[in-house]
Amino acid sequence: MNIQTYLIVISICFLVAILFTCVFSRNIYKEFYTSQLKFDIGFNEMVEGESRLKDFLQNNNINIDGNVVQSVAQKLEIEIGGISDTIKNNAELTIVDNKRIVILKTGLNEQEKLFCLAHECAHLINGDPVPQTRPDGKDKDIIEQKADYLAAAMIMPREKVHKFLLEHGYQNVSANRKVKLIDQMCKEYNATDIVVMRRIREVTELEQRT
Amino acid sequence: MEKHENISGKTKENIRSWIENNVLQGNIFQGKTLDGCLYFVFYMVLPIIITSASLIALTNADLMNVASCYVTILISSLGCIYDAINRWEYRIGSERNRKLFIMIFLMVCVAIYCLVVIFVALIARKIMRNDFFLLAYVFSNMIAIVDLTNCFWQKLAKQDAVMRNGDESK
Repeated sequence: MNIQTYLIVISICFLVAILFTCVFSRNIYKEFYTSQLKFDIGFNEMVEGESRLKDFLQNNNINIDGNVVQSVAQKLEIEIGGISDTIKNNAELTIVDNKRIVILKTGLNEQEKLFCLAHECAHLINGDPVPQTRPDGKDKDIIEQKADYLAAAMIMPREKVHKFLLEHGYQNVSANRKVKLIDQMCKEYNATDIVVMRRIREVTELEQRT
Repeated sequence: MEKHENISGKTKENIRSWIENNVLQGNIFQGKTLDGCLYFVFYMVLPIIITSASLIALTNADLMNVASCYVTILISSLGCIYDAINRWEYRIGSERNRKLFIMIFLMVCVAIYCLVVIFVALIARKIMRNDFFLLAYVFSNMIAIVDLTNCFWQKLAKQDAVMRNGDESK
C-alpha cells in the first residue's frame, strides 16, 4: 500500500466517523439533556419537599452552611455499610442488627456516592418504608422521584443556590459563563452537572412562583 | 410479516440504545474537549505526519532506513497504548473500557507488525512489509475521533440546555 492510498483511507475513515457522530450524537445529547432536566414531580410536591426538609433541619438544629448530608445521615443514624457489585441498584438501604446501613454499588464516583446517601436519607425524611433502593435509569416511581428531589435539596439548599445565582447574575450571563458557574457549583457541592442544572431549574421555578 | 416488523423494530431499538450508551457513557475523553483536542494533535496528527514522512522517504534497498522508519511507528503506537491504559476505568462492564480495549488491541497489532518488520530487517536482512497492518492504527483513531466530535456535540447540547434552563418548550 503506498502512502497516497494510506492518506486517502485515513481521510475517508475520519470523514465517515465525523459524519456518523453528526447524524446520531447531536440529537442523542439534546434528548438526553431535555429528559434529564425535565420536572419529574409537580410544583406543589416540590414546595412540600422543601418545607419538609426545612422542618427536619430546624428540628435537628442542622445548619445549611455545614455538610448537610453528613449531619442528616448522623441524625438518622445511617451508615455506609460498604460497596458491593452484587446489588442491582446504585444503592440499597437495609437494616442490619438494628442499624440502618447503605450498601453502594461498585464503581460509583464520590459525587454519585454522596447523592445515593442523600437519596436514602430523603426516603426516611419522606417517611418511606425501609428497605429502600436507589434505582438507575428512566421511568422511576414517584417515591424515587421525590427522594431524588429531596436529595438534591439536601446537597444544594435552596437559599444557598438562590443567593449564588443572584450574586453571579446567572439569568443574564452568556451560555459559556453559565456552564462555568455550573462547573463551579459542581465542585462546591460535590455534585454532578446534571444534578446542579436540575437544581438551578427547580430553585428558579420555586423563586418565581412563590 | 407483523412478526418480522416486530423483530426489525426491536433490532432498531437495540441499535439505538447501544449508540446511546456509547455516546452518553463511554466517552474516552469524559466530555473534556481540551483533552480530546490534545489527543488529536499528539496521538493522531503528529504520528500520522511522522509515519507518512517516514514512509515517503523510505527506500526498500536500505535495511537500516526501513528499521528506523518502523521504529518511529512503533514508538507512536506504544505511546497510544500507554495513553489508552491510563484512561482505563476501574468499573466492571464499562462502555469506555470496551472501546479502550479495542484501541489497545489494534495498537498492539501495529506494534507487533512493526517489531516483526524491524527484526526481520535487522536479523534476517530481508524486507517483509505489508503496510495494510497500519490501517489498524486508523481504525483505532476512528474511535477517538468519534469521541472527540461527541465532546463538541455534548458541549453544544449542554450550552443549549443551560440557555433554555431545561425548558423543553423553548
